[in-house]
Amino acid sequence: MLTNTIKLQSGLGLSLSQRIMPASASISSMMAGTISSQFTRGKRTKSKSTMSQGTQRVVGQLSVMSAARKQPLRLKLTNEDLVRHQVVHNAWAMLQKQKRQVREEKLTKQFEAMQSAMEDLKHGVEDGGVLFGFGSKFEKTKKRVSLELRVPTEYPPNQVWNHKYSKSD
Amino acid sequence: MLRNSLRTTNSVCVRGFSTSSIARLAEPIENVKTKTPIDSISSSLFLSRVPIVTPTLGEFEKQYYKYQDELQRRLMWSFPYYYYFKKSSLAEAAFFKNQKWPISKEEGVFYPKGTPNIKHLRERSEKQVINVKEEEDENSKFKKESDVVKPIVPNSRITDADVKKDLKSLERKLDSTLYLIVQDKKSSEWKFPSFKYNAEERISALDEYATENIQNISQKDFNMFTVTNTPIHVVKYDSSNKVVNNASTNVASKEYIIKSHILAGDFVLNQKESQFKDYLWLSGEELPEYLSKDYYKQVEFLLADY
Amino acid sequence: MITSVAKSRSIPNVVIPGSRAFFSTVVGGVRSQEASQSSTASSTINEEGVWSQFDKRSESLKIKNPILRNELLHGIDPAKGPLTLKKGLSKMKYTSPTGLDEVFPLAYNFLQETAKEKYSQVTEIESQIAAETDEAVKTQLLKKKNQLIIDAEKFNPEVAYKAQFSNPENLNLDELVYQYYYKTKNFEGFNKMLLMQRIEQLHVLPDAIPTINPSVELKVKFINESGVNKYITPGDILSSRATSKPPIFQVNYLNIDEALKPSDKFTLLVVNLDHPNTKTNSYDITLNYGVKDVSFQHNNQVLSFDELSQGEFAEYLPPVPEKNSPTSRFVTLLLKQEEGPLATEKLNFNRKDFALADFLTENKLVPVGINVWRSKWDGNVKNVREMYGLPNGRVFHRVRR
Repeated sequence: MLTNTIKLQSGLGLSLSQRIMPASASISSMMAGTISSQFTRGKRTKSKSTMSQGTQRVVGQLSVMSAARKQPLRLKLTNEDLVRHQVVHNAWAMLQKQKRQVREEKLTKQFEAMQSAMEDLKHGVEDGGVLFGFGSKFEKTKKRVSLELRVPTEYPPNQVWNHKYSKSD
Repeated sequence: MLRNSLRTTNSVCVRGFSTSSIARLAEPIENVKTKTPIDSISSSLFLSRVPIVTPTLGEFEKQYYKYQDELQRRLMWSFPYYYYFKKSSLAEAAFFKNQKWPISKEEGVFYPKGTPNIKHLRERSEKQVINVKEEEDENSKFKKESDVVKPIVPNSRITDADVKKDLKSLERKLDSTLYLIVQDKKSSEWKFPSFKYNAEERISALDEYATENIQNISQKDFNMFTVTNTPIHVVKYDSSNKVVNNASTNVASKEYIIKSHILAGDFVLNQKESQFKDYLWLSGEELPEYLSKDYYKQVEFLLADY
Repeated sequence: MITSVAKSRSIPNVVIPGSRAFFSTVVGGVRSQEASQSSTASSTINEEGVWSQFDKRSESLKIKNPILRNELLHGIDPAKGPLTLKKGLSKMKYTSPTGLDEVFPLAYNFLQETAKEKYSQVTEIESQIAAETDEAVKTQLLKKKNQLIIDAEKFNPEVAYKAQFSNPENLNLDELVYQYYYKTKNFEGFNKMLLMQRIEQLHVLPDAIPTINPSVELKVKFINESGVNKYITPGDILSSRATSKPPIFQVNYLNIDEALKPSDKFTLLVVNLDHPNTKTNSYDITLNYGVKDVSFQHNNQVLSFDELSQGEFAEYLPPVPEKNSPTSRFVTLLLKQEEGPLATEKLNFNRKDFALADFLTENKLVPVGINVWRSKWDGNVKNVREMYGLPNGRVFHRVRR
């Protein structure tokens, strides 16, 4: 309260307090609705809205999610640029399609190779079906991908490869 | 489907797969009349090191991502700075200080690139650039703070092993899969490591047999993950040890390939105790230089996409 | 009033928005692999590829305007501005999206390479067709070849530009790729839907024919001093003055799988579905125009009086609706003659009570294209009747007299 009084006396008044410090939520909410002749620090002279502090905060938060005043101007392309953009888009789609086709072909081949290997193991080996039995055995618990397998990243880790592996660990 | 069908082990034939395309690669049962003896069977290991970094982008892909990135930024909503920085706060002042503001419209000025259209301190016909980097201030008391926040410098995607062309290193070609190939002492041919069964010993599973043997011929320990106990492919040889490509040729020996990944540690060949004299870690592109033509043709489709 | 021009030289503090130097700093931190690697020198398009060999390909696949072509293939010159914008101010204001000029040549070259591959497949199929004797296999191969030709050209920027932004009436529909674009975008994308809606709402189906899936676009236009010189929208109500002279037709043959042969003959009919008949207390179909043995030399062909007069078996009678009778529907039908040319003496019909269904079955005619307009009585009908020497019209009343 002391500083307030000084300011009032020094005649700097409302404009200074407004410029330097934002309205303190607790004080202004305390003062809201009460008629006071005494100067309060941070009190706005012109209250633009009659909304309560809480409502105001919600409005502020909602405005972040709203497109109002935040949308850029529409991107207008000339016909030439539109066609150029289409070419880029089509080339990308074509590239993805080609990659997909190669991958699918390969996967089919790998699947068929597994088939034929198992077929061969069953009928073409003189072992009394032992190898085929092992090869087609499934654990009751699901086989899981090892946790030590790394997902590729954009840049390598500081230690590229763990060379210090020991079985006894 | 694969799992269910294979689970039927010995009693039911694998023909449970109801794919019409099987017939293409799978030999009809009638043709497999001659059974190969167990000592002509080997378990081969398709050991790979998965890529450590993402695939290197082609020029078109690079430029395409750049273009899409620019488009996205151009079409983004303006940054609601008023939500993040309290009005007239120090944080707001610091934020404002770092920004380059668009020019505002003034009376009597002609703007050849369009009249400024500014909302929320953003030129609406442009992408918005927000500068977050603190500017270095020589006189600042808080200079030490910037020492704490070091700039992020990513590691290079090209390693020493790449530069030295060390084909035995696992730290090379980080953006592609590496495969282990070994050179036979007798024939000097490069192949995936394969191990012949011994008729006198107890027969163990293909995957176990290969895993055990590869560990035995290595001087150093390494950890590996075998994907499945089912062989992924079978390579057949005739009596003169040449790869059999068609069904009519008589088969003398077979190699069943087991798929596996190396996870940690190193494979270092123990030359004295093994049938191999050398080993290399090669990417899919380099394999045809070392493998024989016939053998490469047989295993080419097993290689990963990148 | 403009007192100054915002140029960085004349007014030091003013920076022109849109100039590249406007935002110099980029958000800190490494964003991605490609951002950190310095971009290589911008590449250029390959102008010796399959899309540029105009000694081997049709000129209609090329954009004639050299400036426009240059802009399309090499980007818009920022000093001159885009050609397609008319106003000088908007030319000056326009900037291409960032990064487009860099990525375009790479995309163009990539697509051109795939097109080259497709063309090599086309030549392979052509040799197969030449060796093949089985007709069924041949048509199958032809179908595949047509699809390959379309796939090789449809992403060509010059073709795509022409197909999208030039007047569809000027497209060379003999080129398969333009046929493909016209069919998917203009015909099936709009015109056919509108046509089907109109002929169903006006009950042309099933009053004229049971049903139709038009594979050919049949357009009708009346040219005379009073008429509007454009192709009619299906179902338009036209004045008797506009329809007083025979129309001209445009036929767009859009069946990509089955090529148009010069030996194919077509019949063109214009029938009125609503000619009142007081005796039967119903309506008759009358034949207003009939032409047989029409053939097409090329696609997109306009059929006018001279070409039609040779095969005319029923001269043109203009619509002269009776006063107070309901609006009459005039249906134009394009029919394919399954059994070659028709003999005039064998044609058996009555113009005043035209048995349309019987006429089609007797002469083995299959409807492939359709259009419809409507006419009703107006003050000019009397003049049209005089012009053609027709008897005076009847006047109908609410209560029959």
